[in-house]
Amino acid sequence: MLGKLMKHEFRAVGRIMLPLYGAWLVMSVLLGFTINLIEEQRIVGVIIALIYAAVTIAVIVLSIILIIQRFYKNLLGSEGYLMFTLPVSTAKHVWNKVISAAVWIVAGILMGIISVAVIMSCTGGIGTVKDAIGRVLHEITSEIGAGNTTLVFIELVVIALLIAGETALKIYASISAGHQWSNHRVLGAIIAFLAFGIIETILGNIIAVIGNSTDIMNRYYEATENMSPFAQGQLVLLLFTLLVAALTAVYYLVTYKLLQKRLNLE
Amino acid sequence: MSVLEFRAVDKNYGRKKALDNVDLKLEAGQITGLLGPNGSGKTTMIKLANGLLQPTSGQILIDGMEPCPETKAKVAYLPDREFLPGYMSVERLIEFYSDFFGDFNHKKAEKMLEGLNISKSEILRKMSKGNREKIQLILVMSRDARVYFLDEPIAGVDPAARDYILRTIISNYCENSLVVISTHLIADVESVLDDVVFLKEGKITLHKEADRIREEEGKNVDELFREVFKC
Amino acid sequence: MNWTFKQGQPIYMQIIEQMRMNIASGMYKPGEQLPPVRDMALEAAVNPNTMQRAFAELERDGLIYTVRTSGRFVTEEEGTLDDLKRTLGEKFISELFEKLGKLGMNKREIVKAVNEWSGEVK
Repeated sequence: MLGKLMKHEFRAVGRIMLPLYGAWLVMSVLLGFTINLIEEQRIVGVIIALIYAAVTIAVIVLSIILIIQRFYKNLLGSEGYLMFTLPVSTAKHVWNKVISAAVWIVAGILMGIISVAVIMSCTGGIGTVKDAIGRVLHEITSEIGAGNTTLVFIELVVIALLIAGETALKIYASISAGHQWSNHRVLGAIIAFLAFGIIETILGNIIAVIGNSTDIMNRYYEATENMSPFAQGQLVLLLFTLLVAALTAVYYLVTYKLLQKRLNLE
Repeated sequence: MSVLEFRAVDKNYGRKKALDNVDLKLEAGQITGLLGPNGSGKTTMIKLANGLLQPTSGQILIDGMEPCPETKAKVAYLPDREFLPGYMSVERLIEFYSDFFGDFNHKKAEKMLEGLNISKSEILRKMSKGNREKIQLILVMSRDARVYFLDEPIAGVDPAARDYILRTIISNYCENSLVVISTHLIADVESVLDDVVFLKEGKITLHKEADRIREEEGKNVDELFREVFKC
Repeated sequence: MNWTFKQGQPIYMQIIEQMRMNIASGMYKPGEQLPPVRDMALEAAVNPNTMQRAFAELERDGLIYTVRTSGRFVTEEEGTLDDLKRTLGEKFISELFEKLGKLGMNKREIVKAVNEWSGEVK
């Protein structure tokens, strides 16, 4: 059932994002070919650059809006009468939205990279960039080994997905919480989101205080003294991942509990 | 075991008591009217049975089970509002229903669509309101469900469409299914009802066969309703 | 066929009356097969259970009978049909007497009026 939810979710988002990605690519090509015209102060070049910027902004803005809308409108609006009467558990509904959000955010980032690469290919400047990237990669691989480089790359993608998912769940938890305030659902959601942010900050400060005033940091340095820089980096990455995972779990629980026990469609 | 049962159900919204100790048992093979003025709790009862609300106390049982994905697989709900994604075409909507509901009967849907001269490639939000409502009805009634909840199916609908809806309900009748029609427009619907439940301010005040009401009270259900619910 | 139902009377009973009239008047001929309950319920815009109940009673009265795999048929028993016509006839006559009685006519005046009326209508 989750697969079916994801299929329809993909279609619902794809029908907006895919054409936009297409436009982004087209503008990237155009910009690549006309970028020289900007320097010559030709109006065509400037216009194309502006349109490119607009499409880029549209992609970013729409990605966020869609994440919000696919939850708010599809689950808690009139469509909720359809979605919540499907023979599907609440958990699957939440996971469907989270996975979709995370995937589209990462896809957007990848598209951005592709867009830049396309522009550079078309200007003919790709050669210098490829050299530069190649040199950076070479430095990294010689430091930590080729296998580790791939590992780090994969880890970064995973962390990106995790952060995207955590952010989406924070938004969902805020919308679900705000929904409880019947007359001011949107305002409630915004307040909830800000409140979550404040709580995160407070917790961060508490952790920092604990870190500074107790033995913990010393013990940490002692334990990791003999580890290679790469290993130490991996440990930090792991701790960071656990932190994000913990936040993800909290926001998931809030969202799940509210949808399961306190659903009240209008 | 009854198909649908409410056991001592209370539902409060804050301080407002929407349902007060509701006890009800409905059986298969019936078309039951859930009748009451606006705000009497009809939609609340339907939402509870669909798992869209949680009771403050008491239980709602469908074939002995509390609302969950398993009961949702056999309960069909036509809300009193537009609830389908407007950007979808008829064909996509049929695919959606087929994907999620094992009891969705493709042939029934095709047949009903043919009769209405609506093309499958039409997009929902580009149709007239009347056609959109008919599509909703068709999708819900094309399921071979155990329980159908129709919330105000004929409110705000022209007489021809109303006839169409009532004919659809009658021809869809199945002795294995329960149909619950919730409405405040009784005169148009009462000839189709087996039995009748009066809901007043969250309490059930009557549950009787329609023909028995006509026999014993010498009145139509509509007339009795007006008496009971006089303002 | 047009079905209209009066208020305040059980629908199944009104269906029975109307069917008795239809059979007696020959709209449904002896031995003719009746449409399935569901179709008749659709036509009359009533609940199939109500139509079924009416049919069950008509069957109990011997006016229709069921052949298991084929459906329902109007009886061919002449005796039954004659009884039906007679019963309905008596009912209408009694209604006539009751209504004209309310207008203040006595039995002799009613019979006289009927004869005059049928004399004019030839």
